[in-house]
Amino acid sequence: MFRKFLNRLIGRKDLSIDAVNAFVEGNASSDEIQLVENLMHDNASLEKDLSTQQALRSVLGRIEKIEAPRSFAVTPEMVAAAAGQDSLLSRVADLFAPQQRLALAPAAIAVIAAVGVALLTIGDVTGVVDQSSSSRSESFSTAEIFESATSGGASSPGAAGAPGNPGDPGSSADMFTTEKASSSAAATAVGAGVPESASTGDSVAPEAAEAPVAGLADSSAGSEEPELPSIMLEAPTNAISPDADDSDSTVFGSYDEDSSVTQAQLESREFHTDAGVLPGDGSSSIESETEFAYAQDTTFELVPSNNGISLPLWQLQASLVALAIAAVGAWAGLRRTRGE
Amino acid sequence: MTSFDEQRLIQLTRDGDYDAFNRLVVEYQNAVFAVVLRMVRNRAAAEDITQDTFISAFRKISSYRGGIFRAWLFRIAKNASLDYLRKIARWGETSIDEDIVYFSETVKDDSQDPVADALNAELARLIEHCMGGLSDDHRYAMVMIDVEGYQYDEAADSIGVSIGTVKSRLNRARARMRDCVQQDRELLPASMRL
Repeated sequence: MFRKFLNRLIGRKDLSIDAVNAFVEGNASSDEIQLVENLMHDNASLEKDLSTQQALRSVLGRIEKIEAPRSFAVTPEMVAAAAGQDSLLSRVADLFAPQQRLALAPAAIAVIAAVGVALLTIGDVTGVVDQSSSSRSESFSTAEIFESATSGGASSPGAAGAPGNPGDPGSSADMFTTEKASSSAAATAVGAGVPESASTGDSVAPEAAEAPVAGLADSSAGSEEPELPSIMLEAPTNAISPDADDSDSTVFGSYDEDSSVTQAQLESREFHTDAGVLPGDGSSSIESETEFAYAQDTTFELVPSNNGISLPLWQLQASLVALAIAAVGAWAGLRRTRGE
Repeated sequence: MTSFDEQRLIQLTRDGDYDAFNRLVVEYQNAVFAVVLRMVRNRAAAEDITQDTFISAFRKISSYRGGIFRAWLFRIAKNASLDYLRKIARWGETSIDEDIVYFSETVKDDSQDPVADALNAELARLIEHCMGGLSDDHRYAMVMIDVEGYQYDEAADSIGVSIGTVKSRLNRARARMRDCVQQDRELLPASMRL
């Protein structure tokens, strides 16, 4: 057994198989006959087995040849019908096939890789995906804080990137928009864990609209799980609704120092202050209440954003492109194996 | 048909000549149908698979890159047969027993003895039963070499494996057939009852 395994491993032929086959077929050479006789000497039942195999082969050889019951001539209509019957999946499988099970594997890999590259590229162009080192190292987004506050229960890593510098008013609107998007994703990830009143802007209590952080403190104190993130997510909506036109909730992108949108941004900046990123004045009641809310319910741990594996976007895209090329190569190899 | 004629017909087929391809069909349809029928053991399915094999061969003739043309056809037919067998194994679409092909009428016997004919019929049924118990790969090797009488290289080319692999599969197939048929020793010829 071990010898056979070694022979197979190094690609060496097992001469006994060739000899036995040739002996059964009656065309063994003298060396092969000698080898088979030696084998028979070692194994007494082998002679009987080989005789049976010879007789069996003679019976199989006596089976009459089968003739085709009809003509299998091909017509243009048959070819056209066959081409029309091919489903999209079967066409793909046919392209990738020697066997459909093998065929779909490189096809699926290539498609997934190509879709990944496309999504990342689109995200990069539109700004949804941003893994530039500056934005990640200089600020903590609301989503990141949210992740920490919820002790990692439900996170949205892909939404963690927050472009823009919080210290730059010109980019605050963008930052806020991104935070809104990130927070929405995080809130979605939380799912049923977030109370309806906290996740729906319209149903938040009026005092929350006037003082979002105060409302945050109240709701945080009244529950086991800190609901700060959900309130924070909706704080801009709540804050806008009393002062702004009640029909327009899309003013997130605008920057207004007097509006509560700015208040929310300030709130975000205060988190940075707590983390020591920005020097805070320490006089804000918002800050103190926020700290109180956090101190009550959570152990707030700010994780540096460069923890773990952070793959630059271009490297990810390059990896996916390489994967797609490898899959296409596998496809070509399979076609070659099939002889097409 | 000479090899040159075959290559010329293949070239004409590449240009879309149906008549040229149908001359190839006439040449090889018996061989393809026989192998397919031995594999799937269902006459209606074998006809469908054989027809599909030739249609597929016509559509993919541009991918034929030389070698034994018949082996290339066998490869297409074998893949189609295995797909069919996998399908019926997965979904149970057709019971093989409904239209099973026995060798009982196809075992040649020169004697005019009705008893010998009956024994041959039973023997053929036994062989059919035992061949049905082989794996697809082993059965294909046995059909190609022992039943249809093709050479190892053609069988290997049609499967897409080395000659050594074919020999190994055939060796195991014969051993399993021997074990199977010896369970009904009374049906075996005297030479097989040793």
